[in-house]
Amino acid sequence: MGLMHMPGDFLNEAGELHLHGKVIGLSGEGVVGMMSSIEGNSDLSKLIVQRVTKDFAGLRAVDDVSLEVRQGEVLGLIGPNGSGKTTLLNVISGLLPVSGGHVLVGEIDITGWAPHRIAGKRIGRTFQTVHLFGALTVLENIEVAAVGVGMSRRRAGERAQSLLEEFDMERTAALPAGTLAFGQQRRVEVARALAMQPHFMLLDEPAAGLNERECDEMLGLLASVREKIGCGVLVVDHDMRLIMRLCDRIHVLNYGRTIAEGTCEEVSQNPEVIEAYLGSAEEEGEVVSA
Amino acid sequence: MNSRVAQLLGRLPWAENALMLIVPLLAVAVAIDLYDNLMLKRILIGMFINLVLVVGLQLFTGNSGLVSFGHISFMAIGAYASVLLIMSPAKKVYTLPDLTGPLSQIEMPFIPGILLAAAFTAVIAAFIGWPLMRLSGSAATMATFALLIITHVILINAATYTRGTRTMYGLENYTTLWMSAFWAVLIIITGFVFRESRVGLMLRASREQQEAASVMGVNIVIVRWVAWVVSAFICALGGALWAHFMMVISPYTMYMHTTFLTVAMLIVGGTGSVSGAVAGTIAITGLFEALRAMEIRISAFRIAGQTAAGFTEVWLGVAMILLVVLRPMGLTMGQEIRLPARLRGRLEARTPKSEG
Repeated sequence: MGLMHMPGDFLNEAGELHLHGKVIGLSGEGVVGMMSSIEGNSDLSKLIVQRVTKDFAGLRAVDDVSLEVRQGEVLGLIGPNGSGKTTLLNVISGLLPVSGGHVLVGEIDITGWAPHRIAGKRIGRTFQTVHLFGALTVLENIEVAAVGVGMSRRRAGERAQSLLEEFDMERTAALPAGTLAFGQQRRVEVARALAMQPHFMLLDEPAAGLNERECDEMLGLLASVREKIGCGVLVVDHDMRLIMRLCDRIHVLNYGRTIAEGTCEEVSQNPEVIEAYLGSAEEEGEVVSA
Repeated sequence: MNSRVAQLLGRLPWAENALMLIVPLLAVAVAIDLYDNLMLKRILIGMFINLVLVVGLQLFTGNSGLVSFGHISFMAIGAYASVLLIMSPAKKVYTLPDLTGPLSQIEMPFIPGILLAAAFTAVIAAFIGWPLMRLSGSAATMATFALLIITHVILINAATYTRGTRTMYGLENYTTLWMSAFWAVLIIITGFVFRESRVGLMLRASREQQEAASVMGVNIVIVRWVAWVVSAFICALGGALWAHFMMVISPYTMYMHTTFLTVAMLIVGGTGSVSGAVAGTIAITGLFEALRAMEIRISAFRIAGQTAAGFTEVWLGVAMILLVVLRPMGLTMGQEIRLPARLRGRLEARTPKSEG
């Protein structure tokens, strides 16, 4: 372990989750402590979005946005509806080509790569509307991600099994994923992204559509994932409670442009953010708590 | 013995499904072989060859979700290629007088001959599939349909190798009942093995959700392409077997009609499972033969001086529409056939607890 250990390799030989060196708390100190332990892998230790622009037939959805996610860090990406958050995630994971700018993993420029190649750089993601393989079993759903990054069928099966145990969902293993309750489907999506041994995770509204209890469960799940795995996380959500509890830093978009970035406190006191985002959040408050 | 079966079922979850298909098929083959009725034997051989074709088609269509109307072109290429490789030079002088060079001299034994013919077809499929597998949905289906037409025209015009529109004759009858049964069983097993393989799993994921599959690391074009080439190989084998069963072939016998029949077998049975392909083949073959027997009897009466020509096709069409309306997911609803519950329980009781 130690310096040579990639943060993504959170499963040991026996296929069990193990803690990354020491337990990382939510305090900044813990994160710094962990960051120093992965500095050795500097070539892959940052996901960098460099002045990215995305146009849709005259509409500029993302406008000159730059951000950085370090391994072991959780960056929240917030903004009103239509501010370009999901578009930015789609650009990073290769589902949409950029109109300008670059996306890098460490020093490797992955701009314009096909999604499956980007996946090979261990960038996992979840979707705003659940994108499970409905007719495949829950176990197979998770196996696909493990196999997709080069694992043998057998090892993928073992990994999927242990992830299901970790998520307390072994009983659902043989069910078609499409038959699960919505909250469980969201959990399977997270498990699936984790099966890739991600260095970076992109979470697109992981709590959307969940009721309060499920939302708390998801928060607990993500918090434990964050502590145990130490991959870099870029999370988009409307639920400010989730964002505030989970994130080290926050990046705020409005009309595709960066209007603020910084720690949770800094951002929540930024007058421009209050006007653009928190103002409209009042309308969305109903949706979130519904 | 029973515990060994149970162990096998534990290690290969699909073995149970495969056995549920293979055992009854082989039982019927034994029964008909003993009964020794020539007509029933021929029906059964035809059905086994159709099983090869339809399971081959299912391997691609079922796992990728792309409907192909082009696979019968691989059947045709496989059939003609096998004839060129297997027929004796003495016969080729009569059937293919313009043929020169090594092809006119070659004479391979049957099994190596059909395997080489299938490999040749797979290479062709590999080239065609490379651009084709980038298409999805109805565009992909139309492209495969175009492939069927192109292949047909080429076969008709490559008269040196195919006798063009004229029937190719002089083939030996190598495809016996047990030869066809052997390949049908082997291809059914291949269907299960492929589905559970890495590529099969990734392909099924891409069928369900393309975007998610690609961001999970699935190279959709490649996994589709592998399935396309493997299924072309299998359909070519089916064509080669069919040629050496009928002993006469022409480009017309491996065209629209066969395409319709094989695709109908797959859809009636259910594209989602190997069992569906098998069930559909059995159902359509049974229906077809029953209707044909009725047509012959009705024709014998000569009601108002008329025969019942077309009776089989019309009622087969009606039956297919009814089946698809009543069971839109196919006879097997995309599921595999499992052991009866009682037998399962007994076997499971004997299964030693596995390490997992």
